Amino acid sequence: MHLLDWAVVAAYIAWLVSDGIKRTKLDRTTESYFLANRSMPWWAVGLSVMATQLSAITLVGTTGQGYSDGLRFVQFYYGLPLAMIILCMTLVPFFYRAKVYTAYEYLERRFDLKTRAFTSFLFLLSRGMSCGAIAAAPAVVLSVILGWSVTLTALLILVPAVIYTMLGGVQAVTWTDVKTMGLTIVVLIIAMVFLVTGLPSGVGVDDALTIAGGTGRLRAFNFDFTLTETYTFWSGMLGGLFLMLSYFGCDQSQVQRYLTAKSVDDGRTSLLMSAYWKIPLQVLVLLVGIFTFLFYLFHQPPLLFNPIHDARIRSSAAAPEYSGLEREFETAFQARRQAAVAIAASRDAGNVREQARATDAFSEHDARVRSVRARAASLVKKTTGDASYNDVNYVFPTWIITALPVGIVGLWIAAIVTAATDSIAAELNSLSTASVIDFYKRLVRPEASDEHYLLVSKMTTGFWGLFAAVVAVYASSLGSLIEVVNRFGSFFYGSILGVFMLAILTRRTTGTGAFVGLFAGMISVAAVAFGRPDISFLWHNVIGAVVVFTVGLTLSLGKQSSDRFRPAA
Amino acid sequence: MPQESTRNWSVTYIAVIGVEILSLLALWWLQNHYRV
Repeated sequence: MHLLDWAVVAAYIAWLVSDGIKRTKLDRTTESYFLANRSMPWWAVGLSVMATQLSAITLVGTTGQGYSDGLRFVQFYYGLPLAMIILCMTLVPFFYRAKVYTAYEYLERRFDLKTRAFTSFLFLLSRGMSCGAIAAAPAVVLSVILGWSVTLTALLILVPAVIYTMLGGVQAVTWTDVKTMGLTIVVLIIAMVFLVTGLPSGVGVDDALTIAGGTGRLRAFNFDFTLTETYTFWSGMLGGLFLMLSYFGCDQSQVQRYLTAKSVDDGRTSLLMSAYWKIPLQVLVLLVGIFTFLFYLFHQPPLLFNPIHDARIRSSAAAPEYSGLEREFETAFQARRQAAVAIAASRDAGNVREQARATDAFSEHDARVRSVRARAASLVKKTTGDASYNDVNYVFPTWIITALPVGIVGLWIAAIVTAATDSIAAELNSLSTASVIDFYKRLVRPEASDEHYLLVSKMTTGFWGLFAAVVAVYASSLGSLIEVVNRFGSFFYGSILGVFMLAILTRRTTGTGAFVGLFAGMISVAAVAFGRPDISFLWHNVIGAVVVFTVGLTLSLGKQSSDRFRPAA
Repeated sequence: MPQESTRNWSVTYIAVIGVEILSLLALWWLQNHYRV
């Protein structure tokens, strides 16, 4: 990377940290540290909600998904707008009326302490681990592409987040989210401009989209009703709806964003910003991936986008086999390129017959390219032992550093690094809130001064930052553990939603009913996940929520209706 | 700080659904217009 790009990355991160530290002066109470005195403007909160969800994995992994599968992934978000409306009508006003700091605090008011403590504990466990994973995943990719050390890259992502979150609290988190969300949109648009202008002469956007359409990459709807396919219209509409309800309504890392808004109306408006913009934004990210695919139709890419694996294979016993694959790849690539140019030329000439012939030729050569790539990937797995290797994650970062001009590369790397930093900051902030409010203040020292709690909150943020750093640094050796925790997380995500549904939709459910229901939901999801691993994870949330609701309600039959159904205004 | 809503949200919710339908229609058009 050029020195100027380094300077851009360093300057941007320094700006975020110094701006965050400036906000230390504003944090004199725990309410300002955790909730910004409930004074943030709706647009800043809305951008913060979006930025928390958009991590570096979105920028690297989702563009990779666009490159390989096209728009298919957007179906995941089809249930989001409806989820936001449901939350605005139900949980958001409940949280505001109850004046809670954490979503789980509300569960004690409605049910009992054990339900609150257990749901909050589940949140701490899963988010604590995922915080490290959010830093480690992009660090692995960036370290390969930029030649940095994985540990240093992970720390470059984590350390700024820990500093400005620990000192500046939620205000620092929100305002850095605003800046990074703005930067992300700018760099996505810049990438799109470079990708479109990078098409060869004679191939217009219309021609390019025709080629992409021919490969199935513009398919945004799959109406097959199947539980095993992850991304379909139905899994997105129903499974996605439950997942988004759980994520935005019951996960402290998101709930805390909109609890900082000035009023219940501002809280609603900030959530609805995602409802309006999430699908178009996700389409933009996926289109950038699709146009990266189109770019590499006309500009020869490497056989492997991971340069470290490429070098290792070249110096291994598999080198002759790899050279053979490279020659095969070169031939298939040139033939596919000619077919792509022929599609554009025949299309522009209005020659339908020739276009059909060129399209058939394109499909044939594209299949050859994919076959050679698949064989190269198997060679990587055999030679390096990296069984989970996925070349797609390295495609877009490779394009960034090879196709963009100096300065813009720095902006993009800054956007990727700080997208991860942002998400981590929001999580550290919410982990600290849940630790202090749900456990320390509630169970350990209920009667201390606000200064004491503020100090403990800052120390807790630092502790979770340290915890995330350890997880991130040892991520490779903790690989299977992180996977287990993530899997465990997916078991209770829908189940926690079920508890909140019992809280707001029923009057009769008791604390014990909800608590036992939560376990029943988690066990059911675990049974489905292990018994039928082919069922897509999006359906786990539906199963969990429905089982908790049914069991919780059944166990509470015949009980008196609760006078704690609605929090006092 | 008002804890209760001071506006009617029905129109906004209808607008959100309307924008989603428009987004899906645009994607539907993109999928079918460029299908070979």
